[in-house]
Amino acid sequence: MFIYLLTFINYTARRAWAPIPGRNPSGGRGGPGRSGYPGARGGRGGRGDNQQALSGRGGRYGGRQKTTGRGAMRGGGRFQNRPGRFPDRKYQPSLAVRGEWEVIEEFDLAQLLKLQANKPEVEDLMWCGHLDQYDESFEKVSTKSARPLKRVESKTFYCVSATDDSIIEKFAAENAGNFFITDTVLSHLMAAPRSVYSWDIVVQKIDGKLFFDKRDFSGFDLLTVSETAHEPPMASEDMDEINFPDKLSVEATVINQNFSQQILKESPETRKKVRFIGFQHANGIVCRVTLCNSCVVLPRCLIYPVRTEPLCARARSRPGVCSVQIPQIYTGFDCDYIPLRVAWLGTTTW
Amino acid sequence: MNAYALNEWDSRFAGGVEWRQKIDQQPGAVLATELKNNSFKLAKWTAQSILSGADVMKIGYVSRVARTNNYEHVILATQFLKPTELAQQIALSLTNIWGIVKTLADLLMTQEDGKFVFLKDPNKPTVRLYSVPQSTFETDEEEGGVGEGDGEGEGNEDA
Repeated sequence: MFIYLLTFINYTARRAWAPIPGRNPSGGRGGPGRSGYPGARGGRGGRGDNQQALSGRGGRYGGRQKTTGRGAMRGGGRFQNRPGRFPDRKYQPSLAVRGEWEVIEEFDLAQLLKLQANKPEVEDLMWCGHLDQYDESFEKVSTKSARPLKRVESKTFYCVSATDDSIIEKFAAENAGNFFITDTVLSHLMAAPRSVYSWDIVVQKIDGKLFFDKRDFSGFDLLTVSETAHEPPMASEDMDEINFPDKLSVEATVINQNFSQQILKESPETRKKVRFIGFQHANGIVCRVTLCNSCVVLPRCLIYPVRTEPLCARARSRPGVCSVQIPQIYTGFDCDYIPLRVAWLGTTTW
Repeated sequence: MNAYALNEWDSRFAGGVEWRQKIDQQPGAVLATELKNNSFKLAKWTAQSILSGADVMKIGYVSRVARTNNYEHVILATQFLKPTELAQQIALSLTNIWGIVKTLADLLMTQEDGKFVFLKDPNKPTVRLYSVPQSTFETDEEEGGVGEGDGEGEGNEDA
């Protein structure tokens, strides 16, 4: 049973990376998919039949297994005795623990919320990718003038993990820091006390340097839907198949990606390239965050700043932890890919 | 500026509100519900925006064309939010988020070189840090939860 469960989780996770098919939801098996969508490491193509694959019950978000106390999973007794639509629910781990694994530390999520550290100093080391302008017409969208969400067919979305990132590799070789991580993983840790579903992050310590990674094909980059709701969606006979958590996750991820690209003006005149380095994964910002003398974090942050002119002035003082350093604009080359997040920094003097 | 999309799937479930009725007049009510139902996702986005130094976040409200159609969507509204203000609203404190990172980093810095896994317990609000053999997720993937074998088998079937 256990092994079956593992393979199922794996199956679901692998399937989650398959491209979203361009077909009607009621249709049969989809046609050929696009590669690397929604962005496993380096991209992975596949047939567009993930909708069927995700329709199984169980998986990471739990099936109909009987257990006690739904309150336990959200870390408070408040809802413990409240009858819900799905009173008995158990989630599956995102990863199976093996016998030889040794527990080093156990954290209570509530305990994590009490930790404090000074705001670190932040400097930008590199900006990569290119920047498109935000399409102001999206300010006028309302229910009466709703705009159809377009599918981004021509772009590939990359969600590269820290050890696979060529820029991070370069900084690691230069000993620029001792803690390498992407913004997805870092923000996941930062927001971890709010998480309900199981997740996992792999850390490698090599020569005293820490590399935080997600696992390949683990579904880490898929957005969850109504994860923290009182009655989160679940795979059950009462629900339509399209509302199963796995499917909602894929749907939300695709919507998020499509939306992020649709609000951009795609004219070459308004596009600015920021020091683009000839690697496909090199988009975003690498900044150096000095937490203390012994700990220098180098997160690679992705940004899709599509910044409008009036906002540009305000952009000079970065809120919170980051202080802006205006990047050099590099206009020398063209590239054949569109980064996941792109930025527009205005045309004022640099 | 960073851009993210929230989506409405079926407002009858998961304590949702009907976006089409609320969003023009009371976008705050929709956001409040989303902050409750998707607090983890929104906290992540806020943290990401603060990390990347974005001054604003563009939130798009995207809904299905029809409840039973999970393929076609419409953008009902968009909204600018400031990451710092949103962080205050959801009690995401900068000192705390860096406290978490620093604590985890300090803990790992005391360890020898090797491979580790953070795993959130699926049914308890607990995260465990495991020390795992170096070969985990690399050579023996067929046996584990990451398995290559399964996916490839599936591929053959497709072919």
